[in-house]
This record gives sequence, C-alpha cells and structure tokens, in this order.
Amino acid sequence: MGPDAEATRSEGDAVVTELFGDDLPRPDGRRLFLVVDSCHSGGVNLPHGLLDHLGVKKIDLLVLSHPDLDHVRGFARLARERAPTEIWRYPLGSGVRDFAAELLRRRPGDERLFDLRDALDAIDEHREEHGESTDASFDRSWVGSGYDVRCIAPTPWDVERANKLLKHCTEYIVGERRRISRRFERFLSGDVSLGDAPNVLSVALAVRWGDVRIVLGGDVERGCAKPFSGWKGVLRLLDKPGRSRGALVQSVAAVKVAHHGSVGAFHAPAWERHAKADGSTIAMMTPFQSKLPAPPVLRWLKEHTGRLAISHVAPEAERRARDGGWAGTHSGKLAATAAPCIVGIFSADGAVSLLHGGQGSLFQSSGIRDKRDLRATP
Amino acid sequence: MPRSLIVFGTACGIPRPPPIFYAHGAPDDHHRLIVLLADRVQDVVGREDDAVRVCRDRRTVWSDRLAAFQRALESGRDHSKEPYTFGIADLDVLAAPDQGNWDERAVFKERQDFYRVLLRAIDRSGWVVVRPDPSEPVSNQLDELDVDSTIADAPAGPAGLPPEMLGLLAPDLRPVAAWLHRIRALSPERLDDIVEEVSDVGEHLLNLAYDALPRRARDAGKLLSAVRQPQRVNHSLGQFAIGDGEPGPTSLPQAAVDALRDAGFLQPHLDGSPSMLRMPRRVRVLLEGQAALSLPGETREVHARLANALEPSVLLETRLETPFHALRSGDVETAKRTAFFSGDLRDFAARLSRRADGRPEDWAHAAALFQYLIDTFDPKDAFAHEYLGYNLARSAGTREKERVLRAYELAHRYANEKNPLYHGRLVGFRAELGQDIVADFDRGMRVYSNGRSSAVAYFAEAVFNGLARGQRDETRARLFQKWGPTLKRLAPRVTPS
Repeated sequence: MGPDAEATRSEGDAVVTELFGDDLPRPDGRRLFLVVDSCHSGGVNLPHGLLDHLGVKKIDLLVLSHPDLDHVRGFARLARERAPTEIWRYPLGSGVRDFAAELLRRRPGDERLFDLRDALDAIDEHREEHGESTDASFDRSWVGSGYDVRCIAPTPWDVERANKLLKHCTEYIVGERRRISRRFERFLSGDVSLGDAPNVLSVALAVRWGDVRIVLGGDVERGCAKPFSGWKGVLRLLDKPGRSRGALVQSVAAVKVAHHGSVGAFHAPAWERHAKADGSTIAMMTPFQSKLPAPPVLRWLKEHTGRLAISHVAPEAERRARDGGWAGTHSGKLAATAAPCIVGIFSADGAVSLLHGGQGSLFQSSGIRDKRDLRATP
Repeated sequence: MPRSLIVFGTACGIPRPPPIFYAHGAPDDHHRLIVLLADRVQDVVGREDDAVRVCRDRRTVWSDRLAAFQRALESGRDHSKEPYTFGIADLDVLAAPDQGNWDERAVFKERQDFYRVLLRAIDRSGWVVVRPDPSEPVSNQLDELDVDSTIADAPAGPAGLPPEMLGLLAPDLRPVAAWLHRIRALSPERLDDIVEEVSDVGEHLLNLAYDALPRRARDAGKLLSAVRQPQRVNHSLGQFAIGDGEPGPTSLPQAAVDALRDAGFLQPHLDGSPSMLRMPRRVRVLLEGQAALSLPGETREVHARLANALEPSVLLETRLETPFHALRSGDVETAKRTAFFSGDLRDFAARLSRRADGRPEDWAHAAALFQYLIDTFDPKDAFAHEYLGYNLARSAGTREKERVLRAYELAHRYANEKNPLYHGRLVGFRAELGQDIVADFDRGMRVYSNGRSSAVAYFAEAVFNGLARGQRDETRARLFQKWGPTLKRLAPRVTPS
C-alpha cells in the first residue's frame, strides 16, 4: 500500500484513489486524493484509517455516491476532518435529507439513519462554508492539468425515476401534513424490501490521470426497460454526437464493479467497452453479506477480463469464484494490514501491480485474448 | 375596450394594469377568486350591486353563485373606464386535467364550471391573463378565443443558454435555470439531456436547484412556502423579520432570503411591483412538501402566527388567507369563524374522513364539519351531503339511520342523480337497513352499464358493501347471479360472498 495506491475496502464500499504518485508523478509533485463513499469494519472507519496510513490530511474530492447505508458510514467524519476541497453528492440529496429527518423522528435510535443524516448535514456544512455546488449530476467534472474526473451516472431519466420513488414513500394527510406512506411503513417494519431503489440514484465516475483510466461504478444498475436508464442510459449519453465522451470508459485499467457484482448491475455492453483486448482490465469488487458477488457475474466477468480482485473473501465467496472459473493467486499480500482491501498501483509504462489486504484475494483466469471469443451475456 | 391580453411573463410592461389575483392550484381557488373578483367589480361599479352581494354571501348555493358571478363580471366590464378591468395570474392551474374520480366529481365540476365562466369572460374582453407557467391544453383553449397575446418582460433568461432552449422553459423557471447556469450546475448540453429524457423538465430543474441551495436557504424557503400571496419587502418579508441566525417561524436570515431570490425561488410580483415578492407556484409546491417532512412543527407555528396576524387585515385578499392558515395550524374554530366560503373547510373535512383509519372520533369530527358546511354555506352541496352520510354511517352506524339516509338522498338528488357512487351508497345503506333494493340495483346497473365503465364498479361495490354490512347474503348471491357477467367485466372486486 503505497502512495500510488488505489485501495478498495469492503464491508460496505469505499474507494480511495490517488491520482499520480511515485510511479506516475505529476509535474508539480502534488498528490491528489479522490475518495468515494465510506464504510466501517469492526468500529474502524476504513478510508479514514487508510488515509492516516498514507499520511494524507486532505482529500481533494470527496464523493457520496448514493444513500445506501453501506456507503455512508463514517462519511461525515471524512467530510469534517479531512478538509475536502470539493464534495459531490448524488442528486436529490437535499430531498433525501428531509426524508431522513422524518424517519428519524419516528425512529430516533436508528444509528444508520443517523449516519445518513449526519453525512448529509456534513455536506451541507461544507456547502455553506465553501459555497461550492455539491451537485453530482451527469457530466459534472473535476478537471485539472493531466487529470479528469467525470460523473457518468445517474442519467437525468434515473433522477426523475428516483424522485418518483421518493414521492411514493410519502403521502399527504390532513392539513397538507406529509407522512410516510403505508407502503414505506411496511418497509420500515421489515415486511417488504426497498430492493435496489436507492441504486437508481447512484453516481458512477470515469477517472483519468496521465494515460491511466479507471471506472468507479458505484451501485449503478443495468436499468429498467427504458433506454435512458442505468448503464444503458450511461452509454447512450456518452455516445451522444458531439460529446466524444465514449473514450472515458473505453479500455480502462480497472473497474470498481458496480453494486458488489450483482446480476442486476451487470451490463455486458458496458464491459465490452471497459475491457482491454488483452484481458488485463482489473475487475475490483467488494462483496455484500454472503449474497454478492453473484455466481453468474463471476462467470460473465471472466468473458471480459482475466484479473479479479475481491476485497474480502469468505470461504463461500472463494468457492464461488473458483466455481466460476477463477484461480486464486498467492502473490501480492500486503504485510502491513489485515484489513479487507485491495490495492492497484498504476505505473507510467502501463504496468499494474495488484495487492491485497489480509482478508482480500486476487484471482486470475486464462482470460480473453480476443474479443471475437466473447459469448453473449445479458 | 380592448381585447383581453394574454401575457407570458409578468404584467409589468402593461400600462395601468388591473389588480392581478392569483390562482394557487388549491381547493379553494374558485371560491376565493369569485369573492376577490366580485370585490373588484364593486370597486369598479362604485357600489355593491345585487350580483356582487350574492357572490359574497356565504349561504349562496353554488349554481346561484356562479350565475351571479357571470352577471357581476358583465357589470364590472360595462362600468370600467380602464383598458383592462380584471387580472388573473396562473390561469393554467385552474384547468382541471380530467373529471376526477366519482368521489370528487362534484368538486371537480365546480372548478370546471368556474373555469369555463372565466374563459367566456376573457373572450369578451377586459382581462389581463398572466401566464408564468403555461400548459399546452390551456394554450390550445386560449387559441380559440378572441384575445391578444404578448411576451412581456419575461424574467431574465439564463445568459449563455441557447434561445431555443430558453423557449422550452416556463417564464417562472427561467430565473431558476439562469441561476443553475451561473453556478455551473446547468449547461446547454445538460439541459439538452434533461429535455430529451425527462417528462417534467420544470420539476427536474427545481429539484436540481433545491439540491444546490444552502441548507439555511432551503429551510427559509420551506417556512416561506406557508405563504401563498406576494409579500411586501421592507426590512422584512411580509410577517417575517429579516435578520441573522437560523430560519425560524418569525425571522429569516438575510443571506437565506438573498439566496432564494438569486435562485429564482422568490420572484417579483407578477403585476411588476418591485416591493413585492412571490414564490412561484411550482416552487411553493416543492417546498411545502419538503417542509411537511422536515419542519412540520415550525411550519405549523408559521401558519398559527399568520392566522392570528391576518384576521384583522383591512385588505380582503389578505383576510381571505386566514382560514387557510388556521386549518393548517389545526385551529378549526378560527377557520370556521373567518371562512368566506366552504372550499378549505370542505377539503379539510374530506381529508379527515379519508385519514380516519377506522377511528370513530375522526369520522364523527368530519361528520360535524360537513353538517356545519351545509348549515353555514351551500345547502345544496352534493359533496358535503355525501360525506356527511358517509361519516355518520361510519361513526354512528344505524343509530343515526334517519340522518344518514337523508344525507345520502340529498347527495344523490343534488348530483342530479348522475353520480354512481352517491347512488350506490344510498342503495347500499338501504340494503344495510334491510330494505328491498333489488329493483333499484337493477335500474342503476342498466343506467351505468351504458355509460362510463368505471361507473358500474363505483355503484355496484357500494351496494354490495351495504349488503355485506347488513348480512344480506341471499340478496347478494341473487344479484350476483343475475348480473355476474357484467360485474366480472366491469366491477371485478365485487364477489358473491
């Protein structure tokens, strides 16, 4: 884990990216840090700990991708203690903040809701202090000499879809008082699941520094039947005439696999863009409970790339990866940490070193060498 | 007298504009505007003529009120020495998109009748119609009238956005888009994406802007959304002092008010008065909803303060807001004391009865309010009679059977015997009482199965529910056997047992 590291830590999902570094220095020698989301493990704020380890006091760009709580825990601390220059937050965050306030009135002891509201409050405080917009809508960019971070999701259509979902969670009663709808009451009582609804809002980023390009997929789903939705909608917008954005996600060095490798978030046409022809694109993945990554996704990924890194591999996930045709490698273990993390170090010559923490694992397959071998995937 | 003038934007460029009254998209719009426009007629004519008196009388039956309103408008136009006599803002929100379900049909019909009267009056001349947020259906209707149109002083467009995109935005939304553009949250490319993908561009931009506002400005906006009328700015904003600190029910920080003005969430009065600020309707709807979630107590306090402060106002337009605020603060008695018309109270009582969730005290409270509405306002209000019967039946059951029956009968009669729900509830209640309803049911089914398909479901479900409550299993089975194919097709929720 060095200053050139991109580290992905699991149990929740957070990505710390250093743009430039010793292997690919920036002309002014300055270090730039991008952090997406936050998570905890055993009471430890993982991105916070990593930044401490790297000796980094200041984040340049801090992003909250969406309101799912496995991406939120500890975010407020990063926002308040790491002096971010900019913070981006998924669209409709202010509306979600109002919603969380109502939920917290009803369930005052709910720590996860408190974390969500605290994160959104911390972003508001930053907004008040610095006056910078926190909007992370499609095409929002953070651009400087030799680097470019661009928001590629959610699409406007998905933002509208999420707004409708949010409206359905409430209803009006006497005197214009708005309250949680019966449908949402059932979710709160555990009778029904909210499913992947918050993912509709998820931010995804295309990141470039020097010649290195990576995609941080957030929890973006494949999308509904509409062409404007999810990954389908993302590719459509990137390919719009006159925009020339398609290259941002083309033949990239690494992809943070969307939504912990769920079936619903896997979109083969996106992977056909992401993957390098020689199979060297790294699929970086954080698991979720015992359910994700899903076995079919592990199989489908193998048709696009030969390198897989999982931040926290329980025996079940290990077996699933092997069943999917992936072979574990025994190299690259970081002696310095037992944390659930994986690290990629990108060099100027295009070489990539992969490392893993004590709970992570690296896999490889024969991979694909020729795109003509690709089989149909959903 | 010149032809009526349709204005996109504000009326500030028009010489000697008439007073501009706002539609808010609220249940009391048609009642409130009749009172205000009748008052305007009195100013023009110089005395209270008979038509004006009828318009302002609380006890006037709706059909009489509407007829008097038409006469009053004619009278005002005939006496006016000004180029334009009447002004209305946001006509578009008065046009009901459809007829509503059978439950609310009577209320929808009132609004539609009122809207049609307005269109006829506008067609005849003397009106300034300001459209800050035009809708296509209303544009099509206005195209059929003998009127002039102008794009007058539309709020400043977003510099840097192409004119063809500017044209896609309602005048009310242009300052919002301009601000988003200034803070680099909206580019021409992004607007192009939004217009292509999103069904409601206005709502999308407002959400973007709400998201981008500082927290204190959002909270100040939520509190201000309690106010519907334009407010005077004079080291204060209406009833709110302007100072420092956090936004609260009595005071708002200057920076927050400035931010709301910058963002287009507060804009000048549509008559062009520089000292008055208004919150555009769609902004208010958005903020009102968010306030109800995150600042319910503070919003209630704002309403309570305003109900107290506005009651003694000498301005009719201001005084009319008292019952609106009183109801939202939970003060039903003040609302009853100060109401000029039934719209707000009726809406409140209807919501109360829908909310009841099986609580007899809510049904009883709602029944008492509907009885008050009938006694105090329109004695031929079909909707009020229907809901009186419904709430009495739920709260007291057959203990009040004479009153329930009478209420259902009157609702059915005053709806011209054309509302299948009202009819079904009457027949259903009679079934619950053990009366023979077979012939009535057959007659109703013959009538409604020839009309709109939803009518059968409303009628049959209400009758079958009554049969179930009266444990009339045999009649239920018999009727189902007779009308089975029609019921299965048009009222699938009706079952034989």
